[in-house]
Amino acid sequence: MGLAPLRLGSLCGLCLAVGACAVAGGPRDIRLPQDTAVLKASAAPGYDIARTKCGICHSADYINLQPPGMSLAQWSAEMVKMQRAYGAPIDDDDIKLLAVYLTTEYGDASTVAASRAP
Amino acid sequence: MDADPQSRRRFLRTAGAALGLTGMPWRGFAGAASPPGAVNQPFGNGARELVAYPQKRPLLRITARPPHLETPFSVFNGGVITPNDAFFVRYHLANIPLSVDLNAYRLRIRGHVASELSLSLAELKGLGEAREVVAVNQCSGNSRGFSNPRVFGAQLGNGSMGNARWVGLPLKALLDKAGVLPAAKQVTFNGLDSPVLPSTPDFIKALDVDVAMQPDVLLAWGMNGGDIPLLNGYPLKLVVPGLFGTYWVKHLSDIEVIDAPFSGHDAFFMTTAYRVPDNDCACVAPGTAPAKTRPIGRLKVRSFITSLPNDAVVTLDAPIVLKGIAFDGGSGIRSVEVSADGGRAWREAALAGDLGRYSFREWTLRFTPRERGPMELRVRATAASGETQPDQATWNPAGYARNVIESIRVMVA
Repeated sequence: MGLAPLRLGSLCGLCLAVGACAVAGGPRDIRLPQDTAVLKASAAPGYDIARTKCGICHSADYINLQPPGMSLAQWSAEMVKMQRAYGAPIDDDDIKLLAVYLTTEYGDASTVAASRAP
Repeated sequence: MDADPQSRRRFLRTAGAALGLTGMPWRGFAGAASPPGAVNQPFGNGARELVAYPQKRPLLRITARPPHLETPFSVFNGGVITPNDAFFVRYHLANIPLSVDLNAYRLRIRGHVASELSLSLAELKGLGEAREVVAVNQCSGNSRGFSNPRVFGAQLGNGSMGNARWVGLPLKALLDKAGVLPAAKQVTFNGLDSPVLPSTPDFIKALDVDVAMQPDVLLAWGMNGGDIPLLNGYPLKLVVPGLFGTYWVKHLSDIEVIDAPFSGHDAFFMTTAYRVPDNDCACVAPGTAPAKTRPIGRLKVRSFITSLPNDAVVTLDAPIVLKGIAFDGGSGIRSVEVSADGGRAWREAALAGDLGRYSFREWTLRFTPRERGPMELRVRATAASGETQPDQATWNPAGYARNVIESIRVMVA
């Protein structure tokens, strides 16, 4: 029968078109588009920690898309949540540096300045 | 809107026949402001790329790893069934299955059952009669980006919901086959996705046994006549009609019957996350913390206008047909009303064909703008349960379960 290879061929054409391949009973595979999101660059020490630690579990757009204007206290609480609830490998010193970087670049930087006021 | 009191009766007779007569084509959320391949959500930091993922048309990318994609809102004007390639995608943990082999795939049921089972998909399908349910799957955080004050989390517009025709085996058939023991309290559900680090809790959800035994809870393999797309949970998805999407576990592979409330490290997504204030409105004063919480549960009643985007322009004295959708947590939609004057006067819309109490319900309303200038259109639904939508948005710390009366601004020119 010439039908079987023909059907397989058309299936593969479909698979290519939709980016996923399936043959009844066999494996179904997909390939995801490239992750292109990057964190905002900074000279702050928290930037390097963010680059090495946050990306273990999630892409940078998790951070990039957060609402503007969050305070140092809010970003600090979020880092504590990452550490305690999600098991992020960051210590308490990391949390302080991360919160300063994130608040400065993504949030309300004035709350960082206020925390340093005498 | 027509001032003529006769016009409403006329509308009720003609609305069904006038479908398709919308005021103008959909222009997207941001009109001329957004470049091709992008959408601007109407809140701060709302720019979203449109990206095509496997088995998906271009969707709003929220996050890349793990993938989190939102449905462009214009899709909801295309019909009450959300196409598989437009259905939103949401994961919590970055180790997601990129390949599923049905020859190797097994669904396991274990714990407080008379006989533990490990079944191929074909064996599962052979356990009983398949059932079909049309049901809305809505993300708990759908519309979170509109929270005021804003809250952390996935910054979603209104497109993290969808309505599909699900086909599967009632979970009850599997539980009965395994034999739930008398001491059983809850049933937990785990899928093939897993955390990157062992210190991160797995994504496992729990239902009380009496909820799990409801006949509409499905172990679904079918979605709108096809397989479930991989990113939506192929080959098997737990479908819990009426409950928020957090319970609809994807790539379902492991079911455990337990004799105590689910607890421990991997119960995080029940005991800490996906919880709402434990009061009638599931809300607290904006910016405050609740004294007590409970796991999020049923969908609240919602309704949307889909036929016109915000900032649309409509023509003076030209009749148009407004169209939209409404849904609730499973009692069904009793009525939908529309106001064209910012909420003072309301007129009842016509409800279209009923696909069941868990489905989107389409509504239509024909009206003629009679005054030039800006106009605010609002829509509110009332469920068969009597539940309706609040005038003012409620607030909770995680931005869950938004259901305020929606409004759009249009210009009559």
